[in-house]
Amino acid sequence: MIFEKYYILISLFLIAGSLAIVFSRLDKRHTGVRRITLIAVMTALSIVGRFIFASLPAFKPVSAIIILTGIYLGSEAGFLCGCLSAFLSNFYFGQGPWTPFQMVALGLIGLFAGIIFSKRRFKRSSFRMIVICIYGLICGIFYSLFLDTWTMLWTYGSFDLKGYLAVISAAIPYTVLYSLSNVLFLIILDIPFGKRLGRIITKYRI
Amino acid sequence: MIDRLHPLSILIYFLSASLIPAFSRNPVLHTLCLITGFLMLFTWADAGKILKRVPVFLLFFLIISLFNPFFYHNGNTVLFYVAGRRFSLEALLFGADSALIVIGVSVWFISLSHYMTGDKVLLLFGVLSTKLATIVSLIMRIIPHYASYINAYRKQQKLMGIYGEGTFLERLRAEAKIFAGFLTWSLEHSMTTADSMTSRGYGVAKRKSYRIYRIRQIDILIMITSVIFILLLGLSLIRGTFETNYYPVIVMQPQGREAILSESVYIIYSLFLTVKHLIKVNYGFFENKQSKI
Repeated sequence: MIFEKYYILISLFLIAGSLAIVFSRLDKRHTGVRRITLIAVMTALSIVGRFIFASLPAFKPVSAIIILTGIYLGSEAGFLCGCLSAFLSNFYFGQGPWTPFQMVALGLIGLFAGIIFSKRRFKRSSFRMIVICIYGLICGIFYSLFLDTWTMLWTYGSFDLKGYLAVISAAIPYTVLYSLSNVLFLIILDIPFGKRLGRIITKYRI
Repeated sequence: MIDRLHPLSILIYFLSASLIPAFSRNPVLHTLCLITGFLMLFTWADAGKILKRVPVFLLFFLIISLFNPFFYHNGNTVLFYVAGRRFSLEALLFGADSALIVIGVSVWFISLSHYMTGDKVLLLFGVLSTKLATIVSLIMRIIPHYASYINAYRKQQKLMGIYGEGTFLERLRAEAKIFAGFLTWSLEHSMTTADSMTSRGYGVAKRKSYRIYRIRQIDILIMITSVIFILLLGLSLIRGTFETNYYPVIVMQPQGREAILSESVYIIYSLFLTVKHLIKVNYGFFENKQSKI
């Protein structure tokens, strides 16, 4: 069948189309000006983080900052921060057909961070910290697997388990480093970001 | 000329010229894609800059083409054995073909991100959502601003003697301190930005984004050509004109009349915008409405 042959074409169209639909629905929801500027600041910070650690492969604070945005500013902010930091930083690190996949992967990481922590945004406890770390670990693995699927489809044009395992096994050091860097950056950055964002949010009624 | 086109026609043209060969399994089309991609580079970059990139692409080519035969062993022509596994010619050629098209698409995308400048990206985002366009323009303003601020802040800390010499741990602590101060400042500063946006009327009326590019005749011409090209090549893609099977032996579809026709259509289409820059011809009729200033 044609649909089996053109996995990559169809998945690319589906992903780009769904992103376009989500973006075009954004204007329907009211978002305050202050929230908009905060999202812009957090995205700029994650892009700058990717720049600072550009020389180290896979060791990046990007996902950690996106997760923190999702936790403290809600799921919409997390999704936007993830999508835009993937898209805009790729102008320096190389755009390609993989950009929509990265946008969706990082956007979903921010979105689910917002959903999971929507009830206990600022309550500080060791249990919450553990949940955040586990979430960061899962996100690192999810991101790698998602992009490995893309690599598989892109280089081979079709999906089979053997090739997928080969691609995954080639990417294992990358995945491990990426997940661990997520956890590390979450532990380091959670308290400074949480304190300051909490202060801003109560001070300016966001 | 390309940099004055409407962003939508640039996007459609570059994506169709690079991605349609990528979805076929045909080494001829892949090679053509790579060559025309390189020619497109010459429209904006000088030869020295392009030559500097060539070793990187060669390295990339070697890595991708050698990666495949180490994991796939099902070709019939065995070249040699690696740790008891077959290293076959078919798998090597398959890898080389994949590498060819990956590099071809990358070369096309280098030109795309050169021609897709910030204002064009903003326009495309503004069509989808004005909120998104606002955020993107804020980010593009914020990043250089932050870079200059953090440099000034670091210099000031150095003058006060807080930052600079010391052991690794001390310097790390100083960096952390600078980061914390920078974070507080950036969040507070964003609130000032928000207030000044409100006082200048953000959110009072329905927001529209400003569009500097208009769809001109040349844009309509390019979009129509692109649609015809996508239909033509898409049709022969679906009919299996470009199919090549690699395992267990290489079987390429006979290069019949249809394949050669499609390939020449691809050559004409992918050189459509390049030729004008390379030999400096003018399309005349389509451009005579442009200001001469």
